[in-house]
Amino acid sequence: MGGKKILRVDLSKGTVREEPLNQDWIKKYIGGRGYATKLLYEELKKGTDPLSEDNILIFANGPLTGSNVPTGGRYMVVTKSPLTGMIASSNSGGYWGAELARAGYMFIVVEGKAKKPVWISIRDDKVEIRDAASLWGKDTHQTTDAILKELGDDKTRVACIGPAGEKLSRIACIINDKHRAAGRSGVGAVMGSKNLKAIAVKGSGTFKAANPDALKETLRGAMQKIKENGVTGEGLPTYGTAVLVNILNQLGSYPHKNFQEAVDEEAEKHSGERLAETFLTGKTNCFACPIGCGRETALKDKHGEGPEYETLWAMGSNCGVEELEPIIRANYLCNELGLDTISSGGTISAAMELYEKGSIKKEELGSGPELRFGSEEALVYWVEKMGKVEGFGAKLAQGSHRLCESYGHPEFSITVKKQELPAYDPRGIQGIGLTFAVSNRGACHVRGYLISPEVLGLPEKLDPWVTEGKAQWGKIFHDLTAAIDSSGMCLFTSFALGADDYADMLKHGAGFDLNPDSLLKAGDRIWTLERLFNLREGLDPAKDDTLPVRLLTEPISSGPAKGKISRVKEIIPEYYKLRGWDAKGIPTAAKLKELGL
Amino acid sequence: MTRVSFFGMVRDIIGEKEIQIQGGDSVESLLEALSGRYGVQFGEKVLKTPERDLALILLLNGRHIEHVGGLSAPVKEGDHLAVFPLVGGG
Ligand code: SF4
Repeated sequence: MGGKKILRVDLSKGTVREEPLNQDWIKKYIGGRGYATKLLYEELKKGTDPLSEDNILIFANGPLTGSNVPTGGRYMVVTKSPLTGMIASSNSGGYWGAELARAGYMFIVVEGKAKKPVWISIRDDKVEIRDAASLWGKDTHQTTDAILKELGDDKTRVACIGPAGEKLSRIACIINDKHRAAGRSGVGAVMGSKNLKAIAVKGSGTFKAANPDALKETLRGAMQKIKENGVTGEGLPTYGTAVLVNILNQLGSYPHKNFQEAVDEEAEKHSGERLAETFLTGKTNCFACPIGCGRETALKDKHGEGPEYETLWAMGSNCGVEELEPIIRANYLCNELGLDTISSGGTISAAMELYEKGSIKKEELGSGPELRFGSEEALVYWVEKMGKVEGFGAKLAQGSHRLCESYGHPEFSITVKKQELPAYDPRGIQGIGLTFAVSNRGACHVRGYLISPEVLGLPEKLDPWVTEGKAQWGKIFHDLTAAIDSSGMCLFTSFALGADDYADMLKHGAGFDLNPDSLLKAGDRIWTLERLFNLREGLDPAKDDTLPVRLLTEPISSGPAKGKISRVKEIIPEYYKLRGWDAKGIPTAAKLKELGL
Repeated sequence: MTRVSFFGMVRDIIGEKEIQIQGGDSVESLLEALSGRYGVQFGEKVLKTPERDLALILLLNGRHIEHVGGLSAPVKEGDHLAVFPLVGGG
């Protein structure tokens, strides 16, 4: 098992202590996203202000984080979101989580609020809360470098926030290893609200498999599948995620200009193919990953990682910006200042629509460039202001929902549960609209990536235009994803692996007694507990389990999916039923009993 | 004539982004015409498996061929076929 203890840090009192894992919770919730949700559910008082010292911030490894299973280096950040007011659980890769496992911990639970900025140093079981006065105000790269210098050890792994998190931007992320983000739902602002700048980790332990021989055998099979699968063996390693730009655009489901259109005539200019010919300098991977979808890029004056598909779209097509250079620059700024790229792009695109339609006035922008679709200058300038939470950027930093509400045009905010949509138009791809609508953390594609069957044809090809069958597929994908996110592995393995593979790895790697059915059931339990958390925090299914009105009422205006709207409302009743929830979306007593909740 | 666009590594193998080709009246015959034009390279590297439609993502006028009749989907003058390798992401 990767890390066997909980590290509890109370920043108000300045204390740290170790706790054992609750073995009953491990059995039922696996670890990572699942266990952390249970902990939050049990410990967080209903109605807690997410940016108050009463919120709890959990860094959560899975039982396989730090192991040699393929992609076994993922961790999650679970807390109450300042963006959605509901559960936040953001996943990240890189090397930080694996290092935490080496130090012996599966979870860090951060409570309270430090009187002044601090950072936490973890070196195996030696844990210190240290002064961060000199780090406050620094960006994520400067912070990481300064900590490594102070420690005199460049092998330490650092997760930190930038100015966006310090200044409580509701779309701030946490960056680890300089380039990897626990991106969504404003988890960086929760860290900032606690005056916690960074957590640096170094460990010396090694992973011990429950049954090394059986694990070896399981891994042989799993690695073979990953190698032979077209996506994990060839597509992702060769092109990264960026290659999706052209596919989604050719399908006519590539949102353009804040979802006013679904085809971008110039998408080729910021496609993965173009990126490979121009700014790409190398490839990277996360801990123990045989896939390696990461991309190193360089501009004349800077280098970094990404942009990924989501970012190319959010900063590119969705803002009407076509060229790679400004998109890459905006992506770097997000990583340095600690902003979620999807929500940042979705907020700037909403601001552009507000501006072009006359709601935002030129005077409000001070000396900044006009917020017009297609303006490269505006994109880069306003991302920087947003990340620094300065001037009009402070308004943007609260996300598109709050921005558009303040101008009396909530309909321009393309969000679900106040979180910005990712890079797929659910009018042309009906199933992914279900995931966006019901995802417990607000609009999200990685809670159940139905793009895989609906667009890529894995594990089988589903028609993206039909709604039939999508409720069933959605439920299986949602449950399996919840289990994978709780294991410590990367979701991208699921292009090649199935529930049986994950169950076997958890069994032989970490001693779980799981089969494919009980693994999916654990996923069901985790999903339902997240739902209970949201209901307790005031979720109103009728109002919140839906898509932005534009996608339900304004048909796509051109391209292959011309005339389509989202029919997600047809899918949701069946989905509730399959989940064992009543017609209003509330889990029934019988279902809770079945899941042991 | 049919417009055919190539993406990802298919583009790299073929060395062209987009062509116009006279190629019969179905996706299948279009692929044969492409094999004729690009020879062994195209046949071996692009259409490498017996279930060739699974190794590629083929969009006919923006619809995956699976939903318009598979390999025997009819192709008319002026149609557009987009040829992608099997790729993924998130
Ligand atoms: S597939 Fe990509 S994101 Fe996932 S672990 Fe590997 S490199 Fe990281």
